[in-house]
Amino acid sequence: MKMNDKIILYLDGQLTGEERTAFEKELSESKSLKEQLNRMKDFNAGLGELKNISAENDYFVQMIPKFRSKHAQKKKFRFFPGITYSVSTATAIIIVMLFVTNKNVKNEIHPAQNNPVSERIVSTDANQDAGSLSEQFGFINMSSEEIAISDTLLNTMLVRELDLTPQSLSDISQADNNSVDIQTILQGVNDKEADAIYNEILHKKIL
Amino acid sequence: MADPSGDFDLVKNFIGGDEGAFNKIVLKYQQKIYWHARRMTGNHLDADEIVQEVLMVLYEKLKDFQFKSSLYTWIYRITATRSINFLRKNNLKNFFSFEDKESEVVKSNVDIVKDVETKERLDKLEKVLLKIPAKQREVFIMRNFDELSYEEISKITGKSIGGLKANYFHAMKKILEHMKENENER
Repeated sequence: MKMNDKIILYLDGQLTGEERTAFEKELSESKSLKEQLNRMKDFNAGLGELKNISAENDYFVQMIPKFRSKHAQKKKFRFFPGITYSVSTATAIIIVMLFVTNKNVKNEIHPAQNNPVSERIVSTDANQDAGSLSEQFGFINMSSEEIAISDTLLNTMLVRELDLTPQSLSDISQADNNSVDIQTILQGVNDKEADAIYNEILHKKIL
Repeated sequence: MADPSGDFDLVKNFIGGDEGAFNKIVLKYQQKIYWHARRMTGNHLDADEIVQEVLMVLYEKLKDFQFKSSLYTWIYRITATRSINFLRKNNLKNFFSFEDKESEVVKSNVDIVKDVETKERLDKLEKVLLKIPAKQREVFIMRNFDELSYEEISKITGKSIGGLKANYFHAMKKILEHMKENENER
């Protein structure tokens, strides 16, 4: 161990009893070691003088007011994260609600699309040149008796759906007997009436 | 070491809602907090930032203080931890920053030590202290300036006494070497 190291340990009180005795013996015999020790003691004394430095008292006087002002600001700032949190939560809820509502609307539409009968009706609308309702629904291979029954059934359904009076029903039957095709009926209905029928069906369907 | 008498009452009063008790605690320990931070960072501005941070922690945590250690030890622990954390943060910041020299000049110009001779000696010491690792510097400051025993430093830092002794020894050795270098450069 170097002498300087021993001096550091000696001054710091880190030497054991035996080591300390041996070092002090060496110190009494060596002039250079004593000089080194004195230099180290001077250094420590110099550090000691920097222990209590006179500084601007004003800084220490202002320390608490400065802290109080910072603390008040921090408290104020803490209020904002609360608001931010609430607003973001509310926004998230609104978004989720919108998503759920949209999904419900979609679900209301989709079952109709998945319904084969509805699909057929949709395709019927698109294909105005098609024949009777029975033919439209794929009953082409039925006997004339079966077709008549199914036509009656479909007519009954339509009557219920349109809430037709017996008079209007007889008009339709008569029209049917006179072999009036769908195009002739459509030509006899003006746009206003068509809209009214459409709205009535829609109204009954939804409400 | 600061006189711990009256600390219990001050803390109790503060917990009871007496804001003035907090002011008294700060007045009692503010010099110790500041000078530890100052010696660790080597400049006034950084030390002031640490002081304000320490006071904020004290204010918020004092309500939970249970006197498992003395108030002084607890405050010193907060100060030491905050100082080390500040230095770590600063090192990272300096690593990515291009304005080091400018900010250093600003920092050295702002000071609460007005006496020219004292400032010169303090600057010299601070420069040497900044050359040694923060952990060694910490032990050196606690030992030399606050005259704490290794047992007390161990309570504050949570390090073993053997490790602290080794840190102090290496710190002292490096400081002496740097001082010698400085003298040779003159």
